[in-house]
Amino acid sequence: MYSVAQLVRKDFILSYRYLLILIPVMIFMTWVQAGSLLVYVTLPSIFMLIASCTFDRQNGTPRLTASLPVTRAQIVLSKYASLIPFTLLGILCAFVLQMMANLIAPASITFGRLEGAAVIMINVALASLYLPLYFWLGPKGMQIVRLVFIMIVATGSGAIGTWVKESPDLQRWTNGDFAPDTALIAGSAAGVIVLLVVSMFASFQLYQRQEIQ
Amino acid sequence: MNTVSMEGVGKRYKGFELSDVTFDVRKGFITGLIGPNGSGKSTLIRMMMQMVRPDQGQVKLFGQKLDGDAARLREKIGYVSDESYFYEHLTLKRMKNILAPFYSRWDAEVFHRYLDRFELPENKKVKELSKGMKMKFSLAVALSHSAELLIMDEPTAGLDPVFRRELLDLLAEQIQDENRSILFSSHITNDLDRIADYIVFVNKGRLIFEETKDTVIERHALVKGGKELLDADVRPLFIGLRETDLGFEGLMASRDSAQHLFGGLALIEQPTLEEIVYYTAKGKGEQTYV
Repeated sequence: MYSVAQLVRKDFILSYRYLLILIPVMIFMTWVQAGSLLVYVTLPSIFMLIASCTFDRQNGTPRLTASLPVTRAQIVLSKYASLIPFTLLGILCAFVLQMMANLIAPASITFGRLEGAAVIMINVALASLYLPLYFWLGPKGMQIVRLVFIMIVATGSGAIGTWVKESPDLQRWTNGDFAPDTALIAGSAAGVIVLLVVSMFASFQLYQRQEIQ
Repeated sequence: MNTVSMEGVGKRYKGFELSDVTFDVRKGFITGLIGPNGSGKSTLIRMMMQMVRPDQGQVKLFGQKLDGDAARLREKIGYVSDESYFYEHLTLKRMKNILAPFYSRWDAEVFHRYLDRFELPENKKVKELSKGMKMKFSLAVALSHSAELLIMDEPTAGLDPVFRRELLDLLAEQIQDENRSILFSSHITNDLDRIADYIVFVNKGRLIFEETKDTVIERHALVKGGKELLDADVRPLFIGLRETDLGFEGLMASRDSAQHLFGGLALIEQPTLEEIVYYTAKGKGEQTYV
């Protein structure tokens, strides 16, 4: 576990400065949209995940991780585990922005628990789709996948956020005003967990066979 | 005990095949892995690092067969690649902070000593370093965790002669510790002439020889003479042959045979490592007219 933690730390060091680029975007989104967790949490965490993966594929850098005394399974595991600090950082950003917005206009931004759970599930699902492709495709293929993911996350998070904010029903649902549909929540969570397990298994199999040139 | 044993390893790629290569890297010695570009040197090194898996044969590191993922053994290896593989946007200090925790025997004092010796500023980004400085940083990292085996893939390629000489001196210094072994791949044979104890020569994916450097040089003979000495019976005895209008120059695998055939008739010299590589790679094909 120590090696996995060190690999996660490496990913964090590689990509944290991308957060600095995203902060103005998030502040702008707070202003135009009165806040959506999708924008605050998913945007930075998935961007940081993509950035750390990209740095690990530049020039000769795949050789760096391959030459370290860590197993390939640990390398795969670390990529999934790095989503935890990235998501936590996104949540921290969300709370800081919420606090700042509420200082200017009290109660202008509130986040519901269901919204939080949904955003975490979306993050896990996105990473579960992205990482097997990362371990499978070469640099050229990944360039296209990266672009598609960035577009989906950047436009999708904004669009869904706006849709949620403009729909009173969805607002009430995310705020927990309706009685939660336990079966739906449990089903979604189970679906995401299955997707994560399948994704990790596929990534491990793909990276295990990969030759580092 | 051999630090590395390659036993009949093979690998097939589209347009290239590494076939049945067997050699050892002996403990306490510098082994030079030579061969022209594309001969399979880097593939062999990547097999040792488990970046590439052999289709046949087996690799042993420190006496252990490389089955599964031998990550633990990589702690004892200092790997220096022909190209920089560090994150270009990070400073050397950040890069060190990333790498050091992976090695239980990381010695910060030794690392800083090498940074001082190589005049590497810690706060400079990797992308701001010259090729030589990147190589120096790579070496500083490789030498700072008490590696028992240094694997260096073309470390001198593209370096200026001053640093090349410095690097060779440094390696000679490292091998004073008899527990350490060095595998040094290069197509610049002069470098290996200076420091290697053993030479492993691969050409077109095949092992040509694995011997001590002195034996290799003493065993071969470079024959220079007039064209009238060449006939259909003699030509096949040469490993490589270069013919001009004025005469020929050829490499023979046995000095005794050269003496027996050409003694008194032609000039018989001791070849350099470079000449051995050149004639072996070239073969006895074409004629050169001058």
